[in-house]
Amino acid sequence: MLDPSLIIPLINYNSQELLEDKQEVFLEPINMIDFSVEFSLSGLKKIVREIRKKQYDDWGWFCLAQHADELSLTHGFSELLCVEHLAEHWKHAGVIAYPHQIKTAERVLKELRGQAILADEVGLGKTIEAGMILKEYLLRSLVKRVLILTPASLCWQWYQELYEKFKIQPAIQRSEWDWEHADILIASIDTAKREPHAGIIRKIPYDMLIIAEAHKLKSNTTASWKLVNSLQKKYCLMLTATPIQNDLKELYNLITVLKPGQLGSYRAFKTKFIVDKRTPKNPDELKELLSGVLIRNRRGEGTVQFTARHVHPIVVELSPKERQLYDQITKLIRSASQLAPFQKNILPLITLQREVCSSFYATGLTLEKMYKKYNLGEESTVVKLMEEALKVQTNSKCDLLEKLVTKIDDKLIIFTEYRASQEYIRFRLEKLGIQTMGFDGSLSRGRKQWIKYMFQREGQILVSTESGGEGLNFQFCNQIINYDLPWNPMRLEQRIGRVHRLGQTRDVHIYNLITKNTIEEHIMYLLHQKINMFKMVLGELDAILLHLKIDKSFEGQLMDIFLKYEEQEQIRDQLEKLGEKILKGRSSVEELNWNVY
Amino acid sequence: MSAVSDLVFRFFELCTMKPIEIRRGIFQIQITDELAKELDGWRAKGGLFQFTFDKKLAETYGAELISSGSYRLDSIIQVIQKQAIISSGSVSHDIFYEPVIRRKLIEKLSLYQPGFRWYVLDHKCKFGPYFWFTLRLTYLAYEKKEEVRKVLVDLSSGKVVSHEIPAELIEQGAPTDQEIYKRKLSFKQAYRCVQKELTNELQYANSGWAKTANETLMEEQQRLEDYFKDSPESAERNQRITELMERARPRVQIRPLRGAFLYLPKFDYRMMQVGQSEKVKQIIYDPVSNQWDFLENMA
Repeated sequence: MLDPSLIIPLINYNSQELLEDKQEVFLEPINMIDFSVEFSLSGLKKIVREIRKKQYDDWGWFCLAQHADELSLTHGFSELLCVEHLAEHWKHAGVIAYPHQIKTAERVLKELRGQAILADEVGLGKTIEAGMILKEYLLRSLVKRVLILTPASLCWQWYQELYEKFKIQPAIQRSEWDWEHADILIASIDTAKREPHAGIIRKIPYDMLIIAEAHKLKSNTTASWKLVNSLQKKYCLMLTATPIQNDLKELYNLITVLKPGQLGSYRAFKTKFIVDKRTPKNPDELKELLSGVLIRNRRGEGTVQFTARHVHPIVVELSPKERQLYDQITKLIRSASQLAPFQKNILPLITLQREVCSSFYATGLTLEKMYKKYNLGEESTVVKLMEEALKVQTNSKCDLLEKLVTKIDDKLIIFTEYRASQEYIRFRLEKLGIQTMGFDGSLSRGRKQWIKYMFQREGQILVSTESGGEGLNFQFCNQIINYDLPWNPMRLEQRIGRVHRLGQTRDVHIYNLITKNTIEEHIMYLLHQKINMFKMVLGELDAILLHLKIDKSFEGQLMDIFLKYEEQEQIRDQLEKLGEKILKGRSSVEELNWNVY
Repeated sequence: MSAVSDLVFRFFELCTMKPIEIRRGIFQIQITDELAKELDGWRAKGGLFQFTFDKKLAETYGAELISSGSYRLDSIIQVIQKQAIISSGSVSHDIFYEPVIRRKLIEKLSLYQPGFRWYVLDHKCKFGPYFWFTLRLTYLAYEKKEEVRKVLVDLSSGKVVSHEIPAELIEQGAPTDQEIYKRKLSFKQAYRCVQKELTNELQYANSGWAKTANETLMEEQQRLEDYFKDSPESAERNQRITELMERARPRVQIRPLRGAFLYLPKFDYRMMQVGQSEKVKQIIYDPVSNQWDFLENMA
């Protein structure tokens, strides 16, 4: 047994000691010709404290500690420490550090000296690179206080990436208190730029600042740019796949906030390097300058080859009774959109229209909620439809799903948008004697991890909602069934991204269940046939939608089309136009693949 | 045995645990909950831990690899480093053969003061108080390099002794107060002596690393100055310069990591000096540094 007196537990530290340990204090530096010498006062105090206690430790421990001191020394940046340090952990977590990521981390440490824009093409693992660099600095005790600014929706994902892949324990900012008390903090950039938060963080000297989705700092007139520019930062990493979206000035702004003076003044930069906002002058010289601050890895040789995606659209024919109900509900939605409560907020109708393709069980429950919320009379159509929806005994989609599931002899994930559909699917499959696991947003972090672990070990089918799978990776599985289709292609891509990502070694099979002659069929046409999104590289669609500025309004645009046009041909025409717009955006993004980095 | 495996086995030994070699090169040990928490944080639980120092064996048998830079080694090192901030030890007189010391001392004194003859009246075995600092020197600029220095300060004279005492000669604990010469330096004064000694040493050491760092620093500073030439006193310019200095200024940071009171043997001779008259003198001989001195000089 371990003698407790021999080990100093952490809890024996009192708060004063912890405070002193946190901030190392040095005596007045002694200046030499080329360098200065600083003697630590904190280290001295620590020893004095122990002397005063008069508790002399065992000589064996003392000698061993001296030995440990020798072994813990760092010897420059000759090699990455984190690769060896995390090797065992990565083996269990299924993380593979790719050569381009290791090379990037080494370059940032050795050549770029901790100030870099990580501008890899999407899907090459910028977050992993940032995590490696951060871990490296932490292991070398060069960094203690870290601030990670991300869009709010990515905070949790960053937390998981750092915790699960790098054993870094960050905190997510929740209150003003957190700014000053957490050593490694993840925060939403939108929160950070607002007062009183901005005022607090401007006073904190950060050892490292990491900005995710840094293209949001493209304009130096925005509050985000001003905030980041005003922060005290020793090292800084900016992550973006698109350092320039429309204008070379964006690149200038981004680099200036990171390393002022790297590109000189804007006037000088403009004269020397800009023909017009999309055409660079002296690209070789600019490239040279950028290489001192920006690293961009591209797909292809030397980086990562992704496995193929195979898309299997499966058409479901509705039974006459289901068809009748579908038509009635669609009609109801069209008429309801003219009513006062829905003119301001169309979201409940969008949900209903989407659910009707998923399951009547889910639709019935939503109708019930609408009935309660809007105080609709007992005789209203909603009530009648609600009753009918709940009475539907057959479900053609689920019947087909059962057949499909029995054919696939591998682990598979069934995605649905709705909890009600999830429950229904599980009920049907369990009834067939097929064991399933449920995964949704209501589960705690620990439980999610446990289910993921169980699914990897012995599970066969995971029925998940999108929010359930957010931020979790299932590379060990290569089959997914989209029981229903989200209207936003980004969400569809996120579903696929759970399995089709770095670390996936097999081709990925995507089965899309599409109900014939419904909105789903139109959406499938748009996404699969028109823009061929399933074949796009990971993150490409994101870049296109962002470029077209329709990333958030996509569902609204679809709903507008479905409400405005009743005829199938008209709807198809409109979707065709939207598809053309996306395709145009795609070529425009490709054009903007500037040849300067 | 490599430095890593030596450290790991000694660690378990001091925790009164003994790993069992279940297969050549593969070891197993039952980790207690208490130790698991120390190693892996408060959530960790004890259990059977299988490890090896060989990469191939780790891959073949799935044992955890403990190698230089590995997480497991780092976690063990961290636990060890929290221990033994202060300790005390002494070196016994028995390792020196007193009659030889006595003979050599008389010979030296005869050479030192040729007109006199010397006789030993009696002698006492006493201990000189020393403080043994373990310091980490960090050479910091864009990169960071570290080294460990062990410095011994004589607490009765303030002298910094450069020679290293072999650890195997040192025994745990301190002698009685009567056996120890009174110390004249406070602990802080001793630290000042270390400061002085190391600063002198660094002044004449190779500073190529700092010169290179300064060149790069100058370049970056110039770039910043050019950028801020229209607002040379602006807060932003000052902030950027401060950040640059923080990141790149060459400096050596010296941190005491741990220390030990060390009691080294001294032979205290009462001697008769015989010349035209007779005088009793007290001479202290330090066998570690092979130096002797008269007590009055030492005072």
